[in-house]
Amino acid sequence: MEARVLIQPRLNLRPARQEQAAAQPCRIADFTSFRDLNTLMDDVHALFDQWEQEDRYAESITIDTLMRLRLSLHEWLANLVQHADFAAATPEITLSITPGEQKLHCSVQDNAAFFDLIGELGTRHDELTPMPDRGMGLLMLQACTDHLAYYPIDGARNQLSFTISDTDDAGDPWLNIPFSS
Amino acid sequence: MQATSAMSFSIDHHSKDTVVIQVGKALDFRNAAEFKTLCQDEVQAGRRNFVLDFSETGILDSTGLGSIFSLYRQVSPMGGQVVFAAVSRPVQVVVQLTRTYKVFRQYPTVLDARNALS
Repeated sequence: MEARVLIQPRLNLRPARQEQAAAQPCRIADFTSFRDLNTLMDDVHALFDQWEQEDRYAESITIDTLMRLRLSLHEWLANLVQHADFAAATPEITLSITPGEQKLHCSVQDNAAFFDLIGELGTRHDELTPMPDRGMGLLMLQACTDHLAYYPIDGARNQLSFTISDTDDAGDPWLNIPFSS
Repeated sequence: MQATSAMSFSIDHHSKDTVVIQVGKALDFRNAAEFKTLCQDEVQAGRRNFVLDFSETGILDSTGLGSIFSLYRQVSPMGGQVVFAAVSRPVQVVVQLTRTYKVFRQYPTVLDARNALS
C-alpha cells in the first residue's frame, strides 16, 4: 500500500490522505513534493515536527535516529537551496521515506543540474580543516547515512538515496571536526 | 544585567566579560551570518565568554556550527570561552556526530554555565 501526498508550501501540511496513512501501520512509503525553495526548509521541518509528535516511525527507528534523518535531509536540502542550478525550471523536490527493520530508506528527487556527489565528498574530506566555517554539510550527511548515492534517473531528474538506521553507529565514520586535520 | 533582542537571538549581558545568547529555534544557514555579526559586535564590545543557550533549539546545522567555530576562533586566543547550556536533543545529535563536545563544555542550565564562567 502506498500513500502519495502533494504538499503545496504554506498550505495545509496535513492533507486528508496523509492523515489516513498516519492512522495505519507504518509499513508504507511517504511521498511529499515541494516546489518553493523559499519555504522548503520550514515545510520539511514542519513535517518532521508532525512525525515526531505522532511517533510516525517509532516502529522502525528511535527518536535520535529520526533526528539524524532530519539533520541529513536538512543538510541536503540546504545544499539544494543554496547551490543547486534549476535553470529556468520550477524546482520540484520529492521526498520519499520507506520504513524498514530498524531503518528507514530515504530518497530525494530533484530537477536541478546533476553533480558528482561522491567526488565532491572526496574533495570536502581532503580540504577539511579543523573547525571550519563551511564545507561540513555533505560530510555530515555522509556520516549520518549508509548506502549514500546520487544519480540521474532520467534526462531531467536526479535522485539522492540513502538508508539511516539505529545500528550503524559502531564503526561508522563519525566526524571529528575539531581536530580534522 | 541588560537584556536585548537582536534578530532571532536574544542576548543577556551577564557581566562585562560574559554574555548569554539564547539561540532560539534555529541556528542554520538562514541566520548564521546574523549570528556571526552579533558575536563580532559582542567581541568588539569586550565580551570574551559566551554561553550559548540551546534550550529552545530544534535545528543546528553545519553552517550554524561553523558560525560557532568562528566565534571560538575569535575568543580562544584571548583566553575566552564558548560553552553550551541546556543542550536540546537535536543539538546533542550534532554535537555527538561532530565530536565538538571535545571543545565546547556543556552545562545543564544557563545558571550553571554562568557560575562556571564567573
